[in-house]
Amino acid sequence: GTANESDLEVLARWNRARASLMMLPHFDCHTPMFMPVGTQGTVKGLTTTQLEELGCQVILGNTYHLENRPGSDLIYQMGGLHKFMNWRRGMLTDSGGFQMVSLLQLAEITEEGVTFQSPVDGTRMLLTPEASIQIQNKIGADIIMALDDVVSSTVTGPRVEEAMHRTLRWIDRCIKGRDGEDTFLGFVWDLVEYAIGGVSGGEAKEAFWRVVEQCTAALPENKPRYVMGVGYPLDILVCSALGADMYDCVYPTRTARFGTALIPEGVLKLKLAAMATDLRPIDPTCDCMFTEKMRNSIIDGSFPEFVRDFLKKQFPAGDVPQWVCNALAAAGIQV
Amino acid sequence: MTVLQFAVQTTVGAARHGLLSLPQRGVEIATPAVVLYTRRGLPVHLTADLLRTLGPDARSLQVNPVHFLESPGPDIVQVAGSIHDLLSFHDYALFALTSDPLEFEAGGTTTKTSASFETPAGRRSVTISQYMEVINAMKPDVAASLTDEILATSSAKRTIKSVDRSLRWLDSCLDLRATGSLDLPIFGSIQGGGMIAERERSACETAKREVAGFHLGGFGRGETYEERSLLLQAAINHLPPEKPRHISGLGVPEDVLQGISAGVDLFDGSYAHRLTMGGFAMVFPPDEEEDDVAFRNGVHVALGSAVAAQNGQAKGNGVIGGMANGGGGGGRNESAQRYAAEVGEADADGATLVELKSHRGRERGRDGKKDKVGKGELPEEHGGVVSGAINLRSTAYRLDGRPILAGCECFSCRNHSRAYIHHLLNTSEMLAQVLLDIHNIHHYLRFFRATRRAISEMRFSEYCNWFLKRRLDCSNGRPASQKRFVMEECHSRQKYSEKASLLPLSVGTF
Ligand SMILES: [Zn+2]
Ligand SMILES: [Zn+2]
Repeated sequence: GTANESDLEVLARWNRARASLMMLPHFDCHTPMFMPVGTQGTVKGLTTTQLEELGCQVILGNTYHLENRPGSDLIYQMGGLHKFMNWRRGMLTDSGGFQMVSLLQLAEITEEGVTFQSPVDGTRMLLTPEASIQIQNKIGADIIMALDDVVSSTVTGPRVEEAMHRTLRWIDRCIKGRDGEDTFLGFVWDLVEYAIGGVSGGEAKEAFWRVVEQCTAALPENKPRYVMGVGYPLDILVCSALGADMYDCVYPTRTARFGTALIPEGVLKLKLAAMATDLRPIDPTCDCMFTEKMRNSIIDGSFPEFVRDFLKKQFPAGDVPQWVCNALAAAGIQV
Repeated sequence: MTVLQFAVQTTVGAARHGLLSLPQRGVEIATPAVVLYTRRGLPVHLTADLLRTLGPDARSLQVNPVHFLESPGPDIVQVAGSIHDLLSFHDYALFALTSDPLEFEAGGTTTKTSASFETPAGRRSVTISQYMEVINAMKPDVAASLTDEILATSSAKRTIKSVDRSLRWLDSCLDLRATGSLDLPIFGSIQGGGMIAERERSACETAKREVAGFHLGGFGRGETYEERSLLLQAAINHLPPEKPRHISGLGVPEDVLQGISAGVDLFDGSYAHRLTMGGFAMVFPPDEEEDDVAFRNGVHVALGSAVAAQNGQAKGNGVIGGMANGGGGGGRNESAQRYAAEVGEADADGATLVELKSHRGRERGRDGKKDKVGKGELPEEHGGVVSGAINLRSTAYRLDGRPILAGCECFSCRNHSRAYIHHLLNTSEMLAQVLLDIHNIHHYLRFFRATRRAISEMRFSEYCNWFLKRRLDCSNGRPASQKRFVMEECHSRQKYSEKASLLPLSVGTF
């Protein structure tokens, strides 16, 4: 069925920030949480055991890529993506719509769905809300997403309005499309994803935090709030202060491949000549994930201290960006 | 204080089982053993935590001084303290060895004072003082002397020059050991190409020096199987039994058994890496005791369904769908197996060809063609078994839910299917090589463990006979390895006839 009342249980709160428990079919997740991107059924170079050891609770699969290779039919035959890649914890698949729009130039959006040109043979293919759900059902993630009408974040005016209403109509079709198809556990994402989705593009950060702020204020308490494509620690901190729960981004994986490590002070570029004789560990204080530390601070009431400590390390000169100060003020934290 | 202790415990003919100890590292290496292949200190695809899961047999690593000379350079290694400090591998035995069968290219500009190497950053010359500078900075547990590598088919003049040079360089290496590490164990490098007399001379002279052990260079580079036995014997007969012997260039299991039979203790691990890069996984029977029904099913069904599925898919007749319901029974599966039997011959030929190609790659200096096999470009067009290795790139494994090898205890086999690894290879995901490396190294270690047990139980020749026969079986009835030797021999013989002074050749015994 659709998302039910006990999707998310808020365990602790500091003003708008919340630490919650989200029970998924495969795993009980503690939020706020970051979800690494495992585009094609693997998080770059890491074994599933290593991911568990890192404290990773949910990984993402990209429906578009998985449908290309190895194909949802094959995944279904192999018992679903969990079994295929031997991942015991949570999994989320996106609708596939975003990749089609971002990767393919010739995407066209109509009321029926997203039409695009096949990269394989050039034929026109249509991804409908129903088809997206069908593919995701075969992949079998814990959390599946409704196809949304994505508009570029630079677009303004009636097209945005149109996108919102179309997305709502598509969500209805998605929910209908699931009937009888539910071979795996999973639930369709609510309005949440739409509401916050699409803000991670190129807007000014000021506009970004205001959108998140308005969304989290308007959304029901017992539903998880997922900010798609957000991965910079500072952004995660601000969104969490405003009451968001889940994040995903290729940023940590991608930046790692370029030789950059995330540290409390910002980033460490390990390719720099100065690093050649630096025998210290990447981060001597590193013992657990950033979001885990943040979660603990919400639970034990030290969240504002955590925020201030974080900012002090990232901005030792005290030059915290104005948008961060504004957002945190809205979250009840004075920087 | 570097201490290297070696004690031979059992011998069967020339083959021996011993124990190499490095008390300062808490490492004991039971021999025959493989020294794992690395490019910069770590097996190419494994992080330190994964390497540790491979157990106590995976505690000896080859580090290539030429790579470290290039980057980060001796001064930076010096700042770190040692190669152990740089890698944070204090409880590993690190062997500084320049020999890299995947990088070797003859015909470089080796001179009186410098050796020439193919490196990740291109070809470079290394002088003896540069070499010892980086060795002294690295402070490995063992270092082989700088040596002048040649082909088995090099001329007599060139071969003699290589032996002379390598001896001179060994003396310089011994002289140039820094004051602080005078106790650094040096393995004297033995050359001699394809000439019995030069192999003998090189061994005799090297054994006279203050060396802790020996590195047998220049093998696997154009000599035939039979010639190699004679060449190994010629050298090893003149080596003191109490010192360990390392060889590079012998990685294919049959070649390893040949080396062990001749009295070699340590082998290079590049074979496992080469297979991983080609998308191959070892499935040959490692051990008599473990050669049970599971193994037979594992490989033979794999071969059968592999070929059938590949053909079935090409014809679009739905064999794939039949397979998904599990390997057993069913009309479709039966016909698939029958079909496999029919095309099995062709497949075995293809398989042999691949092994041949990779073998010949080692002699690329001859025709000037660069061997890219080691860099992951093995031919993709064969679905089955290559002398006991399966190519997981083959579409035959698309829906194969079984582990690489039934009963294998490695992380990859306990957690993942052939189908998943096939998908990872197909999408060029890094995890493919990680999982393949884990399995291949695990399996290779298992094979070496079996050889040790066979020697210690005084049944090594029985083991060899069993192994060669089983490899023959799992190459689908074709003696892939022996066939390779025959073809190799023809190839070499033609070249040999152009040269003077070389071995007497026995006429085709296979
Ligand atoms: Zn860390
Ligand atoms: Zn295995």
